[in-house]
Amino acid sequence: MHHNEVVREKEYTLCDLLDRILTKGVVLYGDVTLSVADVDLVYLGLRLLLTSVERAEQMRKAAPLRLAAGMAAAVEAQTQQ
Amino acid sequence: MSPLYMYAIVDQPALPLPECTGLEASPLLIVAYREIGAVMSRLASDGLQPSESNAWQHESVIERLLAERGVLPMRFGTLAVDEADARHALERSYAAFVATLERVRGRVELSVRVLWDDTQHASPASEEKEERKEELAPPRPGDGGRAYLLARLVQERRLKARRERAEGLAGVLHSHRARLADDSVQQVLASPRMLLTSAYLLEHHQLSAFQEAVRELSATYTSLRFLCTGPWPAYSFVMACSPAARGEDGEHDSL
Amino acid sequence: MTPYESECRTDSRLLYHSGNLSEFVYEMERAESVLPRRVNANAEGVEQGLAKLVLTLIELIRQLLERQALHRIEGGSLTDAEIERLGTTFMKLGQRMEELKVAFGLAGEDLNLNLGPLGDLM
Repeated sequence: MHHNEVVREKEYTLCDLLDRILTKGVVLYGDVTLSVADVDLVYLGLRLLLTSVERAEQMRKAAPLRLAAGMAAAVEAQTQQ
Repeated sequence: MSPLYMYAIVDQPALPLPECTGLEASPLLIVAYREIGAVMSRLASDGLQPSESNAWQHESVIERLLAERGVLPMRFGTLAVDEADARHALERSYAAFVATLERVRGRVELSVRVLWDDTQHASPASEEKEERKEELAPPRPGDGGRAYLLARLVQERRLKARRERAEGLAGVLHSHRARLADDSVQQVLASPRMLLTSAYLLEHHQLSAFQEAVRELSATYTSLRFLCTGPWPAYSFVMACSPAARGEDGEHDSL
Repeated sequence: MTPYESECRTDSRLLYHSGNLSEFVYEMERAESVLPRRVNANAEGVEQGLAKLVLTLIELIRQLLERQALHRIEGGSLTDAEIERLGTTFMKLGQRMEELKVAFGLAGEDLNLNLGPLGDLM
């Protein structure tokens, strides 16, 4: 096998794997989230939590402050343009 | 407290876990509820990228589990707040998980993709080739509103005709293989050249007959390009037991 | 990398293929809404991600409305003047969308959303 073929095979296999594990499989949602093909929103999409309603509230208050702050800054930047 | 990363929902929760580590080299743990369990590991970092390394780590844990029991693989990036949350999730969809485990136990997934070059499958008229170039390009402005919409109408009709041709051909290909599998899913024209994207649920003893069928189809349909990968855990056949897919997430807030 | 993980990776999953693997990679990238190359990109910020989300929704609505109009043209329920007016509006909307995409560095991208178990939006 040429070196090129081997590289392509790994590349393809990774592509296939990512398609499988990122868009299929069992999905358990705490909040409804959307995922888009961007690094940061994939990041957002990755914070899928299995929670009850009360816990979801707790987590929202406690956890992704960094991300929420980033989004708030982005929205602000938009409105100032 | 750091969250728990979830790899899979499994049967036989009392069975010892395989001796491998998960993401960030964390040890695996299992939370059980009646006849099923959730296999997880503690995640120290705040957020997780689907990098090549993490993707394969996720996959290899699942495949280790698959070697010894029934497995419902999770989508990458599923986190639980704590053990109680995981147990709650198992309880909420218990019946669906048990039923799906029954369906996929001892089985793997093979993926088949087929590319076509649709200029080869059009009617022979020579005008078609020229038109096809414009088929996918939107009509140009500057011609007036009516002209624009009429051009769009023509475009939509052509796309529809092409889709019908694709579905006909894909249906023929798919049914050849579906007969050899326990179950299958397919999608037609995921992209203009991707005629068919499909997955098949197979027991181990069905694998070689299936691969032979793919080779035969490839030899028959020489203008098509076939690609068959696997075996994979049955990712494409476990989605129906997700609470969202079953319309069961009414108790949660939405964005 | 654990021994099993490296074993897992190097096992060939490619059981059969006719034709060129790179063709398949190319088409998968066109088809899928989550792509290895995009996952590795780090130039895009949260801001752009949000813009993409908003533009995708606008694009969806535009397409739905346009298809409705086409349906009504086929059904013969629109006057010529209405057709002309609608057509001009859609043309302008389409142009505006392209301008917005360029402004946010999204030119040439397919706007789409993956809704998890519900599949893709468009």
